[in-house]
Amino acid sequence: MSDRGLPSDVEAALLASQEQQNRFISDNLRRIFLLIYRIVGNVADAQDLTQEAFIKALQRQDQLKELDKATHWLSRIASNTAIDFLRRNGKVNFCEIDALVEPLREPSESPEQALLRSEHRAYLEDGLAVLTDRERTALLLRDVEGLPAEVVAEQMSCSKATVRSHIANARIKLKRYMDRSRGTGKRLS
Amino acid sequence: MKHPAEIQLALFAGSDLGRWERWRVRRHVGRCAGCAEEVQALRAVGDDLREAAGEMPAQFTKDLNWTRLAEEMTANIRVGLAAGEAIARFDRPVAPKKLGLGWHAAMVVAAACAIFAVAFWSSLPPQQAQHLMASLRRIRVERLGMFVRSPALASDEVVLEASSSGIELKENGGAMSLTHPHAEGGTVSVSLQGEAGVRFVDADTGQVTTNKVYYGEQ
Repeated sequence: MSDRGLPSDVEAALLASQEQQNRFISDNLRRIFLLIYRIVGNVADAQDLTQEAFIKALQRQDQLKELDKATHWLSRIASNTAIDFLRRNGKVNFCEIDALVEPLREPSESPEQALLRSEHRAYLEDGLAVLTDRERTALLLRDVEGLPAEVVAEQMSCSKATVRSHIANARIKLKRYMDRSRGTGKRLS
Repeated sequence: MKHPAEIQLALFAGSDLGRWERWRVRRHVGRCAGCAEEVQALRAVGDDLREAAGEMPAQFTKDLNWTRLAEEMTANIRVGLAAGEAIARFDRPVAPKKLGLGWHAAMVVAAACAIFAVAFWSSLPPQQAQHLMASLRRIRVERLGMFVRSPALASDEVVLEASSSGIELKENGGAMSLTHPHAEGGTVSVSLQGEAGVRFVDADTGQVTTNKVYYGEQ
């Protein structure tokens, strides 16, 4: 018998399961936090939603044979949690299509300064912030998580055409932002 | 030369066009250096984004202590899981509790009852035991609260009957009845010691009359 009054084999199984859960959390925490942060746009909400996503996933871990192969499954739970949050707070209607307009925000630093300070990625983050919530969510799920457009549409509860429009707008806006930051903006004829 | 729309190029860059459109745009991009450059630039932004996805945003390095945040989140996740387990255990339907009387216990109780009955019976004076035995044999309740009698009796036995209309004593083929014609439904009481009683309320006067008959062996 263990200290908790459990038979030793049950105690050992519990410890092994906890160990596996801890490894699963530490292996995926950063990636999931960043995914959610980039969708919701602030640390406090991202922290809460990351915790919520892990709890949901680990409570349903019996649906999964091997936790180690659960990265896509976890990403899906995480993005759903973030999307639900935005929807619940009335922040976003994912099925409206935004007009393709020039990004309003100008890069805060010149490209030379940015290069000097190796902050190319800071521009990228800044560029993501220029996108609307629906564009950013669609782009992250498609280009970062690598989900097919149909799956993104399903997750955002929109038609595939709408999601393709979000994805295209997001790519164009982000590229224009990056072009401006490099001072090489150009338009197609 | 007509260029594809910018949206089409953006979708082409991420392989999100349908088969026919993809073929058409690919054909154009193969011949148009400007569009090819545009597609390349769009792909580069996507590559940068993927590459940066695993990295902490630059502003975090100044304001955020990731190690501390990660520890805090891990602890909160563990607490959340433990709370979920506790709630699930609390909500789980409880199986109906079985009576804790096993075979052994039932047998002990039955044996104790039997010993008590034998001891009670043997401690009774012989006359009382005989009387009790006779009463048990004789009395059968047919209609509760209305009628008490023994249907098959030897001719020399005494029958004491009480009904809602009165009391009757029968012995050796003869009967003595005590009735109250003006009463509306009497209350009958009978005891094992050979006592019968009827309580009437007179319908006209409201007077209460109680008749009791005792049977005692000489």
